[in-house]
Formats: sequence, structure tokens, C-alpha cells
Amino acid sequence: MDRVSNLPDEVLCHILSFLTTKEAALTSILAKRWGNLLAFLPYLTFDDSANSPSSVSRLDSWISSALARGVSDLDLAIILDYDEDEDEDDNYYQLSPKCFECSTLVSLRIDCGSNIALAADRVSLPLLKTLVLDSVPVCPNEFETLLRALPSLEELQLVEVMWKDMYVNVTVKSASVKTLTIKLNDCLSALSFDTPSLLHLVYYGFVASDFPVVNMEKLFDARIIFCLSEDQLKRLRDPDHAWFDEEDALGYSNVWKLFHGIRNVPNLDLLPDTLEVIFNNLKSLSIKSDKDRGWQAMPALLRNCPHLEILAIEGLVHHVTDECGDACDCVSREGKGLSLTVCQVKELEIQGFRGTMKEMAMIKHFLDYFPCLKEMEVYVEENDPTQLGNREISKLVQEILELYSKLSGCNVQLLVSDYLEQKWLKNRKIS
Amino acid sequence: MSKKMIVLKSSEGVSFVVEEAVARQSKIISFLVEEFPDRELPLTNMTSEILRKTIEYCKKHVVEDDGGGDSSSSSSGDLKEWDVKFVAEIDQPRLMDLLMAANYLDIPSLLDVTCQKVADTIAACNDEKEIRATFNIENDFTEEEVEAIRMENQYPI
Repeated sequence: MDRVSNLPDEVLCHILSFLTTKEAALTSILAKRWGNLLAFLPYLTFDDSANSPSSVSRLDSWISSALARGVSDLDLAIILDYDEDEDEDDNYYQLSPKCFECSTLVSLRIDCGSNIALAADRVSLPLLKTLVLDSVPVCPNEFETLLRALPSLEELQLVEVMWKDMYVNVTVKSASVKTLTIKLNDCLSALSFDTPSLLHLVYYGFVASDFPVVNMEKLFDARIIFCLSEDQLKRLRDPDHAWFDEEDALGYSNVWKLFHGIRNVPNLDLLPDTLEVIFNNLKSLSIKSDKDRGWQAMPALLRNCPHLEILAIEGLVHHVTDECGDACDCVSREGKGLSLTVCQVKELEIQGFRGTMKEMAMIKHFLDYFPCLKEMEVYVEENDPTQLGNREISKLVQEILELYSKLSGCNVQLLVSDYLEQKWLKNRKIS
Repeated sequence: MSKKMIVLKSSEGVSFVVEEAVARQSKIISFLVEEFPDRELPLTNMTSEILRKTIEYCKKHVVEDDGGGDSSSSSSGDLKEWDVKFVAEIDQPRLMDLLMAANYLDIPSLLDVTCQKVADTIAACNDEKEIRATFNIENDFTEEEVEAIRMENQYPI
């Protein structure tokens, strides 16, 4: 055999990769040795620029042939010449419904320039695992129909999809999808997630006005990046200003539904704009503390909740870390209580109080630094026995709290549940 | 600091003493030098002529790489020109040898320029007959088979 034909397959393919697809195609009739090499080329590029407009139908036939041959990955980015005189729809390539009737397709990516038309009753992509829709116009109803016909779907990417309809309600409903990336550059009226198997969520872009359904019980990680314009940010930071009209108020008032829906996620990644949206509107916050867990996030959290009014903390005792000494009293440091002074909390509720000196000092710290505090309710721990069961100590603590109350102008109350009171009474009778 | 030299031996047994940095452009030699330092490396499937050509290419490229820094854009342009001349001067059988050497020694940039030259030669042909003639490729297809492939590929013109 001649020298060239003797080269290994990978070298011959490398040579062909320097040719245009048309030139490479010609080599397939040189000899049998060359016959199948074309199939190994990673890319086929068709330079269609010299063709007449009839090329659209040719495009259809290429895609049909690929589907008929059992293609598993189809990645389409078709851009037609833009013609201003044409109807807007005519400037898009009308993707054949056949793309959605293929028993072999595993991955389908449709990029800008295509218009999707579905024949609802014929959609069938039983093996499809990955679906990417990037900058394509999609009708929300058709989208739901499409998802229903994808029993194997694992990964869904909706990147700047141009949702049709005026008041857009989008529902992502799939029992199988595990990874969802959604990038919104429109403001949707409502966005629902009915995705019980979802593990990974990336949400990027505008905040939808409402999140009626957020079903993602198994979510393992979430990355949420809201995008705000400078103007939106200004409005958000100054909600009482006249420019804050109803529409804007609605814009973020339902964000909590999304966060409520993902509350069990172990890994959450939030970006600065997102924090503004969530915490700026927060009025009531409850925190559960643990003696083995630190309060590193507390100062930042309180600083970012300028409209917080009610704060409930279950358990004051926490693991002491480097960040202590600001929101809490654990260590002495510069800038003590700084995060509390910017917080507008009026009511503070403390659960699980055990009457230790450390807790008393913490209560004093809160009274000293929360500038607007009016009410403090301190509930005695009722599940574990505490030293407050001792009448003397209990009395002493009560007296100190009363003193604090007088000094600070905040009403401090020590509260004992009926159940606990009964228990104490019983114990004291015995002893 | 004196530069470390290594010895490469061609199929005729001729030894070439090369700076290690030059030879290391071959991923295979780079690997062998680390595994067997201070050893003469026998390249039994390369003639002295091809080995000399390969070393010439590597020398040119290592010098240019050393130059680095601000002059890099102009020198990379010069280097491309040099590459084109380098393969232009080589006849087809030797080009094949050099291509095989680049493939065997794993020198990606040399493989690229030699493959590019072969591709250019194919692209310059008007039809498949001319390609066959240029590379002495024997047509083992029947006419019907050729017709069937043409039908299947049917490149739209």
C-alpha cells in the first residue's frame, strides 16, 4: 500500500481535520482504506454561503438523515440571515417536529435561531437525558408537553429562553430531572418547580414574581444568583420611598417561597444581589443555635437585615469562634455589638434558657446594643432539667432580669411553661 | 550553567548530541529522559536524515520559545513562516517519514505542520483521480461502489 494510506487512522483523521468537509468527503472515494474515515471526524462543517434560499429544506433533510441513522447527540445552532421585511417568525429556522420523535436521541441542544414546533401527541424522546434550550422562543404550554414526554430526562438547561405569551407562567415539571440550570433574562409572572428528584439547582438572572410551587425535596446543592439593576437595588434598599410602587413590591415579596422550597438544601451558594433580595425584606427571623456550632455568620446576617423586627433565638450558648464578640458577648473585642446597633429588632424571643451566667451576660449584651428593643421574652428550657429548678437560683435570676428591665427600658420577662411549672412544683413537694 | 545534553541514535547508528531542552519537545523523549537519565536513546525506526530534520525543527522551536516575552507575537509569526518553508522544501516521501517521526516521538506542533502540508496537497487536487495520482493510491473500488458512496455522501453543491 502507498505511504499515505499506510498512516494510522488517527493520523489520517488529523490530516482530514485540516480540510473542509467538502474536501474531506472527496477522500472517501479514493480507496476502501479511506471509505469510513469521514465518520471519525469530530466536526462536519458545511459552508452553505453560496447556496440559494432553498437550503432550509436541505437542512431539514440533513437533520432527518441524522435522526434516521440513530444519532444520540444532536446539537443545533442554526442562524438564518435576518430579513427585516419578513415576519419575525420567518427569521427563525422552523425546527422540524421530527426532532422530538426520536427513539435514539440522548442529548438534544437547541441554540439560538430555531423555532420549536411540537406535534403534541407525537412527542417521544424516551432516551433523552439532556435537554438544552438556549435563546430559543418557547411557548410555556408546549414546554410542559415536551417535559411530559421525557421520562429519562436528567439534565435540563434553560438558558435565556424567550418565553412566549404576555403573562408568562412557566412550570418545570419532571419526575426524573436531577440537574436544572435556569437563566432568566425575562421577568416571569410565575415560575414553578415540580421536580422531586432534583439534586442540583442553578438559578441565574431575574427574580420571578411568584414561585407558586417549589417541590425539590431531595435538593443537594443550590446556587442562586439574582441579578438586580442599580435602579432595582436602590428601590430595594429604600422600600418606603414613593417610587416603590405595587409592582416592585410584588417583585420580591414571593422570593421567600423559593427559599422555603429549598430550605433543606445542605449546600447553598448565594451571591451578593441575592442576599439583598432575601434579607432586605425580612421582618422576622428565627435562629436555632447549637453548643457545638459557631455564630460566625451572625454579625453579617444581622447587618444585612435592616428591616428585621422580630428575632427568635433558640439556645444562646454556641461554640466560640473568631467572629464572636460582635453579635454575642463571648469574647471582648473592638467593635463589640456593632452588628446589633444597626439592627431594628423590636422583639427578641429567647428559647431554651438555662439561667447560666453566660446567658445572663448575653441578655445584658442584647439589651445594651439593640437600639430599638422593646420586648424580650425569655423562655426557660423545659426538656432538660436546669438549675432554674432550684427555687433560690430561679428567684435570683428573676430579680436580675427585673433589674435589667428597669435599667434598659425594655420589658424583659422570664417565662416558664405550665408543664414545667407543674413539674417544678411536684419536685419541690417531694424534696 | 552548562546545558544538559542527551544522545539520540539513529537507525544507522549515528549519534546526535542534543540539548535536553531541544529534545524534550518530544513527549516520548521527555518521558524517557526522566525514566533513564544519562542513557543513549536509540531511535531504531528513524534514519539519520529524518532525525537531523526533526532536531532542526526542535532547535528552531526551542530557541523561539526561549525568546519569549514582548517579541513573542512577531516571532510566532516568523516561526509560522519558517515552518511553512521548512515543510515546503521537503519532498513527499521525506514528508511522510517526518510525519511518522512526529507521530512516533509525539511532537504535536511538528505533526500539525506535516499533516497540514499533506492536507494542502490534497486540497490542491481537482478531483479524486488527481489525489490518487499524487499519492500513488490504488483504487480498489468498483465503479458501482464509488457511485454508491457518492449517493450516500451527496454533498450539496
